[in-house]
Amino acid sequence: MKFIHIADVHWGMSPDSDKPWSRERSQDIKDTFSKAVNQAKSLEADCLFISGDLFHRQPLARDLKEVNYLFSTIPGVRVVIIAGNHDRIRNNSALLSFTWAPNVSYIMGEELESVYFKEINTEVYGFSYHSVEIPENRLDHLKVPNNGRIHVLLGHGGDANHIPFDKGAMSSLDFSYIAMGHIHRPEILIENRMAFAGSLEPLDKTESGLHGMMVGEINEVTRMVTSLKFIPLAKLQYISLAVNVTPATTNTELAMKITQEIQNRGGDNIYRFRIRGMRDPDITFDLDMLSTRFKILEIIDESEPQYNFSALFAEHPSDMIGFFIQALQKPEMSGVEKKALYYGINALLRTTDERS
Amino acid sequence: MKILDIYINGFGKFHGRNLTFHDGINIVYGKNEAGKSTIHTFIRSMLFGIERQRGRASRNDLYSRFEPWENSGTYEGQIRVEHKEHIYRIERTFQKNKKEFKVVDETAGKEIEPTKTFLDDLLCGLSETSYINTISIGQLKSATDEGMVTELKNYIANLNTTGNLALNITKAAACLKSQRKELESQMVPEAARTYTSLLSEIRNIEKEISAPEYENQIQTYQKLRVDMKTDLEERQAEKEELIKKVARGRQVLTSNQFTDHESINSYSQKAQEHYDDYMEAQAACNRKPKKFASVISLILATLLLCGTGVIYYMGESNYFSAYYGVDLILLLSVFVSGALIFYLIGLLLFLRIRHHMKDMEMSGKVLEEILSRHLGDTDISPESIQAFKNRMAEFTRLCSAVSKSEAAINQKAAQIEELNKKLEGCGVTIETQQKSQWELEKKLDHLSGCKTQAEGLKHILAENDRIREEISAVDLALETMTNLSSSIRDSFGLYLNKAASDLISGITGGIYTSMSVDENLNIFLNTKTKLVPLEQVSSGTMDQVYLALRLAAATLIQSGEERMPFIFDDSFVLYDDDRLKTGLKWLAGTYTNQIIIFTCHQREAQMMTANLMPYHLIEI
Repeated sequence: MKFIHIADVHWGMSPDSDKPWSRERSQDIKDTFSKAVNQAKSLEADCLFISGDLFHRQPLARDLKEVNYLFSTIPGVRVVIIAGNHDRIRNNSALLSFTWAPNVSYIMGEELESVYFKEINTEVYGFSYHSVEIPENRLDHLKVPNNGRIHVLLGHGGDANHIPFDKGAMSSLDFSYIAMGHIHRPEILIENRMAFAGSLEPLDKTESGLHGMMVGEINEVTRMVTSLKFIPLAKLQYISLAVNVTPATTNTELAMKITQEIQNRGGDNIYRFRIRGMRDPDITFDLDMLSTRFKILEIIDESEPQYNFSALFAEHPSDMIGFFIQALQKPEMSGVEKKALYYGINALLRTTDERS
Repeated sequence: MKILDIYINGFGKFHGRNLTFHDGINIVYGKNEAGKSTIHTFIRSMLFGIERQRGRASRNDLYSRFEPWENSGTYEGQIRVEHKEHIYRIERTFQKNKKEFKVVDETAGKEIEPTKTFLDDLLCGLSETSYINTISIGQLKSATDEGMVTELKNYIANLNTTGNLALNITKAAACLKSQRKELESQMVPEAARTYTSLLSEIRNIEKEISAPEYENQIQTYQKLRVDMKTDLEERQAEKEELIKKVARGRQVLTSNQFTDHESINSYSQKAQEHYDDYMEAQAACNRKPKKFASVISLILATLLLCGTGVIYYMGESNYFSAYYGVDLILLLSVFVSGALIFYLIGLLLFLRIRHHMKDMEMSGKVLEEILSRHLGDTDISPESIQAFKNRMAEFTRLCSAVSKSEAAINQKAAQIEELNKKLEGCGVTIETQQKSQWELEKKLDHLSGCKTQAEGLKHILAENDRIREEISAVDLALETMTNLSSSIRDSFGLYLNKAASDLISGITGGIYTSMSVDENLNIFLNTKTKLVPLEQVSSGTMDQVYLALRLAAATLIQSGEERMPFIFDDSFVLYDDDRLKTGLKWLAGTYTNQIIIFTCHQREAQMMTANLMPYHLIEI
């Protein structure tokens, strides 16, 4: 029995909504999802498990239709879906009156339910979110009848407010595979037993690394997973890089360095840069021009101007500069104090009257 | 500290040049471009070294400006100074790759580690900056009076507020303020408000859509509708069945010319009546005494008629007349009338029987017809009548069955109507539900938009916070600077103004008695009779004030017993002869320090000679 396990698609989300690429990303999510659906067909999977948060918000009828159309293109694949915290089932949900394609089973109940597929002797268990949070651990003590069927569990959670389960306890449950969602970083929790599929596309800057789907196979006789691997599918990655500067680094040099880094790692990815080190006090890095060429989420300039405060103090022991340094410099300076020191010294040095 | 001699080995235009300085006033005379400034800078560089500037500033820094003109490979020199009765030789190589700095105590005959403490002591606590600010004295740069006023005022303000001629607190504060403005312009001030209003809008929409009217019960209602439809169909079928049944019953009744119970009853009653009549008639017909009486009557009448004949024949001879003497005529008439009466009776009886017969016949016919219609048998008998009655009872039952069915039909029809109404209501509810779902979708769409916008705003808010932190850093810098400057003014500025004020009188030869600086850093020179604003004094006086200020600062800043030499670089150009004389005299009289005067005029030397003041002349 071959299966594909995805989760946290967040259909309908517009990541980085204040950035110019937001719309494009919104489309990427849909494209990659349809890619995953196609993969189910081309890999000849028997099942497609979607472990919650297929939709970013309560799905509208049109969203359901779109998704259902995609499912209808893979009539041979049994699609099993549960709702997560984002697309939890509310009383007014369009889901309640929606008719899915025949190959789709949406497990809507708040309590554990199952669907059984006779042809592949597989019973898929799961329950859906009806509330924002499920703070109690409702997963790791589930009991299912030992009836010779392949048991698969779809679950959604893993943090304190969303079913904080115990991994060890989960391993002793009678499930061949536990398909988890909610945590956006893909991770195989128990070798050949349990995994977070992670978000299909990375959805914000914290979701660096590769994203995609889990593909696995369960032996019909032993009812054990024989292979489980992660297949990257996402269109791009969020990449965070630290760039070190020295007082010799110029703005152009830094821009070229960053451009080089971006080109090495792929111009399509979304980047965050952190500039570290000491810079020439006369230079303020202005990298706005890069933002028009690449997808740059933010450039955090943590570089500090290379003032030699002790030299400056020695030079100005009894005037404003010396006093200013004395007033602000102390062993453990807060960020604001540090910056105030830089601002003040910079202003004083820049506005010096020409000496006679 | 005083300078004994210098040896320049590659510095600007000079190579292998020795100059010796003496105690007291040294006048270094040279024409323009002779290299006075080079020597001046050489002294400074020997004392403090040359720090290369970084980057673009390096092109025009001291190092490049005074690189040896001839490429001899040396860029170095020596200076010998006397300090606390020790003679030190300072040797420096400026070249960028082999910078060297060596101090030799010639008195002790050993090299000395040039530590900071040693250098501080040697240089009387002066840093390069304060050296430039104080003892190395030039003239005011500005060419115009107005410019000079501004420059001098700036210097005084700077010294008063920052303790440094060159540090300008006003400009620094303005610079910080413009940075602050720049930062403020990067903020999105309405972001927080928009965010808050977005959040409340989101809350409102969420509250709105959680209202029960938006609950999706379409499926329930659809199921209900399907159920109702099946129910309705069943009932419809039942109703039709009933209608058919009724129709059949009706047909039967109609074919028997019945319409309702009434008709059946009256019909059977009629039949009963006919039967009764028939039976009665039959009974009457069959009544023997009547028949017998009729026959007897007729016989009697006939007998009487015959008797009449006999009597008439016999005439008076008949028995009665004969015997009883009854009148014959009377007798005859009695007989005849008797016969007549009996005839009449007989006839009457006969007619009565005939009438009954007829009655019976008629009733029998009607009955026969009725019976033949309903039983197919014309026999009139109690059995057949009973059969007929049963038949009629059947009809009655049928009739009541029909009317019952009809009632049932009516009931069904009412039920169907009710169901239809309910169905319609259900349809309306589903329609309303669909409509509210549609409304809900619109609201959800809007909600989603709001949420996305809020998420975007969160980044902007974070960015705002970041900028706010920068602004508070700028504010802290500004505040610190302001506080410091007022404390500098309160301490150093006060002493400085006092010291400078004391010097003014000497420098100006008593023309101005003192100088005062008010809170707004306006400067006044005081004569014995009035306060003269700085703007109104001559440029020469301004230079004098400048000198006084620097000398005052130099006195305040230097530490220790020893004093650094004063170095004047073309400082007296603007002085008239009287002023110069007064100034030089005052300098020589007031200060015991070594004084080095760089000049491109000969009048300083001439004036010294003329006034019999000792000095040492160095010509280059």
